[in-house]
Amino acid sequence: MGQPVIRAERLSRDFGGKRALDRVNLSIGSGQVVALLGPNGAGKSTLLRLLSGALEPTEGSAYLFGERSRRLAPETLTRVSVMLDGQEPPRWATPKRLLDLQSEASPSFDRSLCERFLCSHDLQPGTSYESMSKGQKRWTLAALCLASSADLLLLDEPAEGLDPAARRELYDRIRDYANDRGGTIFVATHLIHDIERIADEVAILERGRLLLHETLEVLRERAREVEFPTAVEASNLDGELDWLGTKQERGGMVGWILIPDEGEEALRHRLAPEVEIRPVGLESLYFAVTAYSKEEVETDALQ
Amino acid sequence: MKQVSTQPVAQMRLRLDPYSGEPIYQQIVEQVKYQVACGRLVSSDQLPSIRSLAKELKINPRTVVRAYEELAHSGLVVLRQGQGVFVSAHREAAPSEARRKVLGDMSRRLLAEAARMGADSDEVLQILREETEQMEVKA
Repeated sequence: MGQPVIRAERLSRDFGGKRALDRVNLSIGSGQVVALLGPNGAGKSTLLRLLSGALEPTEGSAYLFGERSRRLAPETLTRVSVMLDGQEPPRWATPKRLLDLQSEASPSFDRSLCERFLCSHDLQPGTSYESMSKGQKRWTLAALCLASSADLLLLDEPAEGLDPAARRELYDRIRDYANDRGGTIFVATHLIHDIERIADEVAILERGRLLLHETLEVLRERAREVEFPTAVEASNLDGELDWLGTKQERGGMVGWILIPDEGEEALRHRLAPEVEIRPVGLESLYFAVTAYSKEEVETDALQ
Repeated sequence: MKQVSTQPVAQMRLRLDPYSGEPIYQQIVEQVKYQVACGRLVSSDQLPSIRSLAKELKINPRTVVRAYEELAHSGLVVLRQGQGVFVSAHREAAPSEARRKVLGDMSRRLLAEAARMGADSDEVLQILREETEQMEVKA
């Protein structure tokens, strides 16, 4: 599949002596829509800013299309379009002005496509940025990215403040962007349910660490919630299974696993009949994985 | 040899559930099998192209490829280079065989679910009979 579009090697960043991103290794191929999930302060924006080259890593390296993010060749720079937190146009900027600027800056910018995106949301060419609603602002910025001719979009919470219909439309457009031109999109979001519908892969960050990076098809096929009536049976399997998280519950235990290669049927045979195995959605998995990691950190701190 | 089909591409109306815990490619495989089994798709019908199905369903084209390859592997469709994907010409008995298989799969899931709730096959059969009667009354 050629070289990865995004690559991070032990990518780390400190702010005031505090580690915001901690030795993240990551590789993302072309044509993929990848969801970046994590609680506030987990390091999502920091990761996107490091990848885009807006920030210098404290340690490790970030590469886009095989080139170091901070030293992209001018041609490579035009292959990347970003929508980052805190990077906003001036207050007086109107959609018309933004389109003019974008067309000037990048000859391959698809102006008429962008105009169609904006029209569908009642954005008048003369509205100033400051008088737009929160949703209109996000939509405008997202439209500028989606109409660029970039091969990679780095988007930080593009759907924040959008109503459900606009969110659906935005995510549909993101999917089309990947399908129609083989574009890659790395998108940080809290809207797990929305992104689960169209994403190919998910990466979960917590306290600066990458806890999970997997394709959604593999998770649908192999991620399961396992409920043990008593904790004893679960402890017998401690070293045998690939635990993503566990939780004590009503005298028993609930765990989240990736089904081993032997398959679900074979695993079921090895477990007591009272043990329940059921599919698990991305949202539950997200809570399981992040809570588990938090617990580990707290346990380590106590010792 | 068969001639290139001139009929329009079949409408599949697939309903995917990204939250069901079943891989998307598998949902496509199951639903195409089902549509063949119940005669909605027939021999030499052309399936949508990989690109157009991916666009319609808002999924990665590779997922469609995987589903089509699986269907080809099971002999239900044939991939013709440069022409598209077509429902295979089955032998006479094939539709009922396919139907038998689909209903068999559904029954196994039903029985497994019933077993988890502590119901045996007699109870399930009883419920099936009652539900059939209900439907007949309504009809």
